[in-house]
Amino acid sequence: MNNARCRKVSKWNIFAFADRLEIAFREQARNTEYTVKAPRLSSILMFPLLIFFGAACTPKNQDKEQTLFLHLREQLRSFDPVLAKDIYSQRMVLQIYEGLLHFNYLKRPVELEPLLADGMPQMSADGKTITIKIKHSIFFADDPCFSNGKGRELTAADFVYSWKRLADSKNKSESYWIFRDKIVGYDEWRKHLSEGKATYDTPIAGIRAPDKYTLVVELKERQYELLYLFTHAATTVVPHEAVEHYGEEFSEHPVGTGAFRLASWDKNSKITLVKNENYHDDFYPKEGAAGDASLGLLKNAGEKLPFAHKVVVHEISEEQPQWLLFNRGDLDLWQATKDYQPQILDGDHLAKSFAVRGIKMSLPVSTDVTYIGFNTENKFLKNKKIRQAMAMAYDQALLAKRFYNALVISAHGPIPPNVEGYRKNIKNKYQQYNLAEAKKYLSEAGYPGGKGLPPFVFEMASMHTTARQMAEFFKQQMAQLGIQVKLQTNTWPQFNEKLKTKKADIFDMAWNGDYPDAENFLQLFYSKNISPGPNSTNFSSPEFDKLFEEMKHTLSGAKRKDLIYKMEDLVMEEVPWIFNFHRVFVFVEQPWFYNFKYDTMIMDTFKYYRVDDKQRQKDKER
Amino acid sequence: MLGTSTLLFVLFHFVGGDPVLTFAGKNADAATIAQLRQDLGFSGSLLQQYVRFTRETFLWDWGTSWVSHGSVLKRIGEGLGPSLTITLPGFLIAYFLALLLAFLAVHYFERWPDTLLQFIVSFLMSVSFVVLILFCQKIFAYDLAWFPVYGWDHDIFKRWSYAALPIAIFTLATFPAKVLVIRSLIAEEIEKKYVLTARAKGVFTHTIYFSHVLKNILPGVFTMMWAQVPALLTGSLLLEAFFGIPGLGNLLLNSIQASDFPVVKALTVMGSIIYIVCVFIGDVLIFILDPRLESK
Repeated sequence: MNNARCRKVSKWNIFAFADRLEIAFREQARNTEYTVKAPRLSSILMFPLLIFFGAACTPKNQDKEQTLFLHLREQLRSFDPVLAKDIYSQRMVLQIYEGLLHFNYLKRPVELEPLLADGMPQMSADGKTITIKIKHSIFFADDPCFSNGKGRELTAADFVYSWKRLADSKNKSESYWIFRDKIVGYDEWRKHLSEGKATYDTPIAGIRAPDKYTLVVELKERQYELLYLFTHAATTVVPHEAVEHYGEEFSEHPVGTGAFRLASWDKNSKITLVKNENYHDDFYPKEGAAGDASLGLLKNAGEKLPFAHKVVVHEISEEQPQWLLFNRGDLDLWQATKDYQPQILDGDHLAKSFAVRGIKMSLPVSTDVTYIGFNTENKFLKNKKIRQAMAMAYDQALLAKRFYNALVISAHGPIPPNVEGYRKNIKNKYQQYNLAEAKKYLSEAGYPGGKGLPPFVFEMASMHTTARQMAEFFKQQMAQLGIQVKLQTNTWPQFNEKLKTKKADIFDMAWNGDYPDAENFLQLFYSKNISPGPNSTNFSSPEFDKLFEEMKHTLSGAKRKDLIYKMEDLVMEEVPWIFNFHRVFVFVEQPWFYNFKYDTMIMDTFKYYRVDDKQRQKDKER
Repeated sequence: MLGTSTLLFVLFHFVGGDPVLTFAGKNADAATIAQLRQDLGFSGSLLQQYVRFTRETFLWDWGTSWVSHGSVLKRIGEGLGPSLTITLPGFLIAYFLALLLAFLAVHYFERWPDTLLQFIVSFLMSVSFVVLILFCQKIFAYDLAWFPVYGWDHDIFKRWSYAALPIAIFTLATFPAKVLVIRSLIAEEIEKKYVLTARAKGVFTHTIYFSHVLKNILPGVFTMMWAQVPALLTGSLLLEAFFGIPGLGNLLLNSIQASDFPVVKALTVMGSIIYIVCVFIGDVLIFILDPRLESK
């Protein structure tokens, strides 16, 4: 009897409690500025304890005027230019800091333009001296690091200081390679500084600021690609006051001359940028590439930048929250991940369900190349015929279909589209799947049906499922030739160690261009760059080296192109890599988002983006 | 502590790949790598490195992050609050819920409510944590829009709208196992003679449950709880990644990806030490809380 009474009482209590909560919820919805989809009783019973946190609310119409909502696919590591080693950090750094040059936002192939430089840098006749004039009246953003909190004027000496930071080994910058072996006295200054024989006051012979607005750079030899590197995040300018004021926390307190300044950073979650009120005159380009006008990319031609007053950047590494936020309209732009592409795409068009919502899509080609590398110092793999046979037995069309939703551009060589030297209409005969020919080549190499060859180890660069599946695909393809392949998973540090110590015989890799010049891709075959340098296949050819060195000293034009073609032909024949693809990105934009145009190399993009807040409001309500 | 430190040193140096080569980046040459090895403290013999590693551990000197150059301790301090915001309430709610449901199950021992509960609990235990997160985020945050899909607020009063769903998922994922353990503790206790005597004397069931049985099973529950405290401090890696919570789980994941050796080292060494300390304190406290152990 007691039990029965207890049961009855407790049941009544639960329902009464739930009812009271539901009433409280609805009351809360009426009385606050939040919109609430009041939960049903059954739902409350499912999650009764959540209610204690008063949480079932979605903020309504926070201040979204002139605000961009974007995301990073990986967490931001640092706002310090010399520490920005990944593209996500570089992208964020370049919204706040600026360099001497940048790329025109619309023109393709990408074209250099002055940013903080007053006109393009002037080169001496021998190409060894570069003189750069700095624009007048450029001010750093206001910050407590300056006396009275007002940003001071930029001078050429700030560049000298910033580039010294890049060489300072205490900063452990990965980007030191940018000026390494290039500027007179630069490497010596780094050495002397680490030995305590120099300070920041010790001049570097090759970087001088003869007056407030002039910067002179002395090179060891002519370096055409150096101008591209003046756009790199690591060569942007920082004020010494900020570095000294914030000390080891400098990477969280960026102070630049760029269009935005940092308002807040919830690490691994959200970055908020606001317009830099000291931003100098900068205008949306008046001309673009063919087709830009019809895409509406010139509607704001000549208007002052930036358009947005605030940028909220969510740091989201997982795919589902990215997708949900975009689909709900809480992200203005999204780079669709592979798993969600089938929902968005109908072939290579936007699916109807998205098109009717006014969503726009673009498919830019990345300045990169993916490949399978062979260690050309391996006892067997140094035999060119074996490499050629393996390349011909590898069905890339099938690979593209299975793993990239066929959204890739087949690579016949290392140079990607949008880079001088790319040839659209040539074919690499070893990239054409031809099993019979592959078997013939293997026989000619002395290993018919793979007999006499040991099993090769295929080193995977990650433990990701897709990487494993792609490696499995390679294994199956090679089995057709009679070549045995063992698969080896690695963490990135393990993989990297194998590459740098020449222990990776076959491996999958991608190279993202550091700058849009063929030199950056062809250096991967230059014998002076073999492991631990970036030539991970340890490919060595005196003929290639000669052509490469000649190209480095040749100005852009027909002669340089010819040298590039010769080098590309040589590596196509030698097959140190099986050239796979140049990747294509899938970007989707909300109907209220404008002026989006992508290129891997152009990173200072937020200032060009524009949103129509009224349209956003209307569309989201709908 | 010495053992932990030694084990971690061995793992870092012989298992994970050379962190200097990874940190040096794709364009580094041999001279840069050699300089970096020296600057990062990986020069000298293995013994010298081991002595340095152990000394830093004992002096609680974690240095600065390789990635941001900021203080490692400060970074960990920043992540602790958000992690605890999720795990601590989730942990307490899970135990509260588990206790209630375990009593309910025992009350209806081997009758349909007990069977139903066991079925639900077993079902929840079999669902993978990622699936639970994906499902709840899609349904409750996106479709029903009861919660934000993603985000965080530093303000301790405003963050609850973001924290609620992760707390609920944490609770859902962790309470089922606790129900089963506590249920067996109660079932064992309820068989004892003092319970039978109390029933015979007509004491109310809820008095028997909550005044007597609960009191006697609490030391066992407490031991279980205390062993899980270190895990609360390190946060939930998956939840934090899916919901954008700037906690320690997220920090650890990103530090591993970025080869931020000092942060990974600090988090693993601290985690191990906290675990050992918690187990020790738990053993001491149990003696204080349960006088029966002292008499034994």
